[in-house]
Amino acid sequence: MATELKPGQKRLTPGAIFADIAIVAWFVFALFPILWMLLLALKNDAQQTSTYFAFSPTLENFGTVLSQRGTDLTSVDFKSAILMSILNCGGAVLVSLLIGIPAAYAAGRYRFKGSEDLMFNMLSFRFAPELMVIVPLFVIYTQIGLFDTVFGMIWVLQLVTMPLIVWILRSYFEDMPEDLEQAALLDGYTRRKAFTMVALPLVRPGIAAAALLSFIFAWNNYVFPLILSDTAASTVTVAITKFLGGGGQAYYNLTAAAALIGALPPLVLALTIQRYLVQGLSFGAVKG
Amino acid sequence: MTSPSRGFSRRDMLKAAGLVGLGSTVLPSLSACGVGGGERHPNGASEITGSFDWKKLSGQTVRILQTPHPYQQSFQPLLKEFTELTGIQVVADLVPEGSYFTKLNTELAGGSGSHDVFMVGAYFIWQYGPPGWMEDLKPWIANSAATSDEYDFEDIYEGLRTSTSWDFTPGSPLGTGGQWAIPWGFENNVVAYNKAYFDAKGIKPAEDWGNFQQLARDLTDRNEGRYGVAFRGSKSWATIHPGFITQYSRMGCKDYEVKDGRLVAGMASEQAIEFQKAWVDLAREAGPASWTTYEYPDCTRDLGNGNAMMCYDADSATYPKNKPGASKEAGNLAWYAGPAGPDGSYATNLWTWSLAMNAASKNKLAAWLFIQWATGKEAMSKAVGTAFADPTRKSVFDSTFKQTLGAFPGYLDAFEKVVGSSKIQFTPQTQFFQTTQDWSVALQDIYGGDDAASRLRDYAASAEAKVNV
Repeated sequence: MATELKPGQKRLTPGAIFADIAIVAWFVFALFPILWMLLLALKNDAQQTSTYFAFSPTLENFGTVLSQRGTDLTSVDFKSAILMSILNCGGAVLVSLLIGIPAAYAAGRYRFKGSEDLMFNMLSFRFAPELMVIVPLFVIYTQIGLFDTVFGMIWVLQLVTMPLIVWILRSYFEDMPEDLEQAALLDGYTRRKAFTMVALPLVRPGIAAAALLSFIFAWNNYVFPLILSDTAASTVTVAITKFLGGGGQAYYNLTAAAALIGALPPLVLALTIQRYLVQGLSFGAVKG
Repeated sequence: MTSPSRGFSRRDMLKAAGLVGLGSTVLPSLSACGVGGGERHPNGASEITGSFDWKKLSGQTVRILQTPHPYQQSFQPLLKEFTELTGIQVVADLVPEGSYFTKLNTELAGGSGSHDVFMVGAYFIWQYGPPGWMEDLKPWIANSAATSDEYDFEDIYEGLRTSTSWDFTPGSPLGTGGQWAIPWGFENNVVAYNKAYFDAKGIKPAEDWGNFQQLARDLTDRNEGRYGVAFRGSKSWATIHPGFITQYSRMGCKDYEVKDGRLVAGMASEQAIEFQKAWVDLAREAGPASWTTYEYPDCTRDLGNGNAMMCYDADSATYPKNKPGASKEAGNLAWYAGPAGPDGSYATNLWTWSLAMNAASKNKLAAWLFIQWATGKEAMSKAVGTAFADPTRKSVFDSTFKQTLGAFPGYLDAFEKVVGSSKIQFTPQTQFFQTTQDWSVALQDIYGGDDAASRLRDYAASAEAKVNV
């Protein structure tokens, strides 16, 4: 007779064992690049390509990246590059939220002639390769004085952040029962008030999730800051690759250290708003 | 109120695919035509009159676009000396090697002139020169109001001066037409080897191609993680330009020959097929295990780690691995010219990082003063004392640079043996990057099992069609 299972306990079957092994294997596979990067960041120059797991660990690379030597190697102050990324990406997300939330609400609640085309057009910003449009963008930016400026970067990053925010939040507004706003309207609220006081608070987790996702996408963007900025508005992604070196002198260890430091701000942000993020990502997951 | 329909119809998807397809076809074509950069800029040298004065533009700023390299790094601390000499501030922007030409190409196509001076390799002149993106520096060199009497352009090795000069007619020899860049640093493609291992086993470097192949095979022991010779094999034009084209040229093979005004491909001649088959066999039997992914950092890494016993690549790419503490085999490496051709030829392909002036620069004299200073005797002499490899000036090589080569056995001998026949061994043509990458793919296919003769005949026909458009 089979043993009675306690709550939360699983029966040990070949399928369950296989599933557990598969999950562990997947985690190892998924996390290995991060582990490899961490190991690389702890190696000195001589051991960076000659060792795998046995080496003399050092934290020196992290110090070098943030020091004057790092600046001399790359012509960029890495600390400033991080601040610039926070400014560029934070600014881009803020602008996208200010414009994108009302746009997503309108797109979720109203259908008018060409509304689907408009949404599709916005989505096309995401799937058009950036290199395809970079030459005309570069010409426009240099001619109107936006090249290598924070304002210019915030503007161009709208191509990254705006479609994400509008499309994600549109689905939130669509999933939200319309009756709530109708009730508010019956109570004498204006449409604007119904939006700000009823609809908006309900999609707050969605806003957090969309903002974080778009922040990460903007943070990881490489082509726009590479081409449309030099030193004044350049971001952390471009600064990281400058540690790669060239001409037979490669600093993979410094690049890995820079990449780990560069990954911290979005990670901290994600942990800070984790509560909203979980709510936001699971919102609308169970529907009738 | 109705809720909008969600999801995409098949028609939407087709529309999207069409738009992307159209965009990816039309936009690169537009940019290739020089969208925004169509304007031809007149040469600025004739505007400079009077006597030469380094301080003529004191207080101005010059912007430089560079990629990280020992050349650039050795000059970085000297930039303040240029400012002291001229009063001109230097803003140097550094772009990683992998993205450098994407950025440079965009800037030049955009015609912005946002950087006055940029680093460029000789082959890139064949692409950036014809649209008028580069300033011809010949009139600047000839203008005594713009160029110091001490500059001595002829002191730069002849093979380098000609490699950066061309008249833009496909097949026309290098050294004709304008001077589109000034060589700043360069590298010869020779063989670096593990001297400590060779000495311990009583092995001498092989001086001819047949012995070189045999030696590489004899040195290979996969069980011990050791193989004979590292050279590049990835899908890139850069696979062809170092050891491969050097040995190809030494064996007397040609990429193209001009016949009746047309370029005729020579990669499928009997002699060329025989060499290329031998090259691929060498890669398979005595080269790196994953040869088709190999780029120069992989080759030099294997040499430095003691996996590769020889490396046929740029001398200055292998040079850093011998610096104390830089690699496991630091101090154990040595250089020699590599195997000679059947007729004793040491024809060698070179790479030169040169400095060029943006034709759209609004600050051309400042740009020229910077190029003149950076490629001048004094600054180059100072730079070679730190990390600079292979100075482009004979006077600097003979004086300062020779003194730094004590710990690099054979480097000097190899250099002196090949420098007289070191030049760009390719025939200049505007489709260089596409056709040369195709060449690397042909070699990969042969490595994968294709018949060498038929694959190279296909490649030669396709390349010939492209270069004669």
